[in-house]
Amino acid sequence: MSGAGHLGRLSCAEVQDMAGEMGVGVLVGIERAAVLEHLEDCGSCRAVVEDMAELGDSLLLLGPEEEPPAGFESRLLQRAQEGGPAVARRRRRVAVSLAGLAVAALGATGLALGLAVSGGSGFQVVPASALHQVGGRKMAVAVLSDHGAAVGQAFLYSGSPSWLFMTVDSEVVHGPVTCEVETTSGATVVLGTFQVGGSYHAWGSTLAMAPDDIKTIRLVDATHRPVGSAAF
Amino acid sequence: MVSTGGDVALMRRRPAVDDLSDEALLNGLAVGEAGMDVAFIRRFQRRVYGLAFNLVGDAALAEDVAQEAFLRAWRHAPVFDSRRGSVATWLLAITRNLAIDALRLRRAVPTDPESLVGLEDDAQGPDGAAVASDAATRLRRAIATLPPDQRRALVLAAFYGRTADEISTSEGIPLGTAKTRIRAGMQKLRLAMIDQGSGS
Ligand SMILES: [Zn+2]
Repeated sequence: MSGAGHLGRLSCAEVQDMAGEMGVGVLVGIERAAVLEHLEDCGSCRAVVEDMAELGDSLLLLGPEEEPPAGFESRLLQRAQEGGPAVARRRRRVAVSLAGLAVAALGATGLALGLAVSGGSGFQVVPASALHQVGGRKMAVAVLSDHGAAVGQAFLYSGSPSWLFMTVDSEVVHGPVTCEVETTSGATVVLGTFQVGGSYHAWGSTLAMAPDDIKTIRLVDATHRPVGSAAF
Repeated sequence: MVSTGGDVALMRRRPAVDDLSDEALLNGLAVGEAGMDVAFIRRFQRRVYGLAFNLVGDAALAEDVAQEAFLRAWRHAPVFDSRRGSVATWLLAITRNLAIDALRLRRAVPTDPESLVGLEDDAQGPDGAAVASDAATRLRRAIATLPPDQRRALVLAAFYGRTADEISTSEGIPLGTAKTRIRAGMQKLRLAMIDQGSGS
């Protein structure tokens, strides 16, 4: 795993020393990657870190309670009703087009970016940003990173439809993640949720907005903790 | 706390929903069962809004954060994994992360972060505290015994998502010291919780 390489292999003592920071979710970048790498094949450290994570989460239960403003419930139900069907529709469309997209992406990137998709050493080899011409389509590439550590790569293709494709390193990112796009006008659009597993994980989605309007792509985990972002 | 006549009456009126566990309620939400959304909001809104308000310090922004937290929880309900924690901590983690997001551009250090964990509440004394809040009470007591600088670093990390690096800058202390405060604070809490017979 290239991201953790700078720290080398951590000992159990080092990992358990870092477990407290890990437990409150503030261990980031290469340190986090190195700990996760160690946990892959160390059950006793995994138990300590899980314990710490549970403890860190339970701290939130001590937070103060407050009565929400009047009308909170009805406003929330209203928002849920407006947002619900739109989200469901978007998800279905993503699901049916996903297989085709992945094939198309592997085809297109296979020409210019074979190294990135097939794994190996590297995310850094691909120049970030700037729209390039690839097979008559405009394409942009950016490294997905978490506090300086590369966790994957995102590709933007403009066409009809335009779409986003990404590879995510499953050694660093685990479980279900949600992909959000921040547009140049400051709006946040949720593209979809997918499960990261296996080796490099690939995922794609069609875009309702123009690729030029995309400022940042963010991946968040099930607790909305950012696990990676890419700027275009 | 002793159960009152009022509680009994309430349970008779809405037996099915009020008796559901947090997990069962979330499951009901995930499959779109009627009435689950309202029950879910009523069960958690004080905690979610309370955390959001105390983190962002602004009622309108706090409502926005709290509502977004509920919407995300509903969206993610089908993939919630109970092996990785309770519904309450998961929902509060979403709330905290959204609040941190909302505060991203404000670099101000909260003046009294420790007040978030309500150490003063302990002065009210351990009367007939409910079983459910027992672990929370023990945790609160354990936090109260931490050295103040460790407690402060721990709250800044756990509630405000401040990394050791950020705490080092805002507190004007070396990075190693910031890391040590978070790590030592968590170690002590863990030991205290184990000593008190609560491994979880
Ligand atoms: Zn180990």
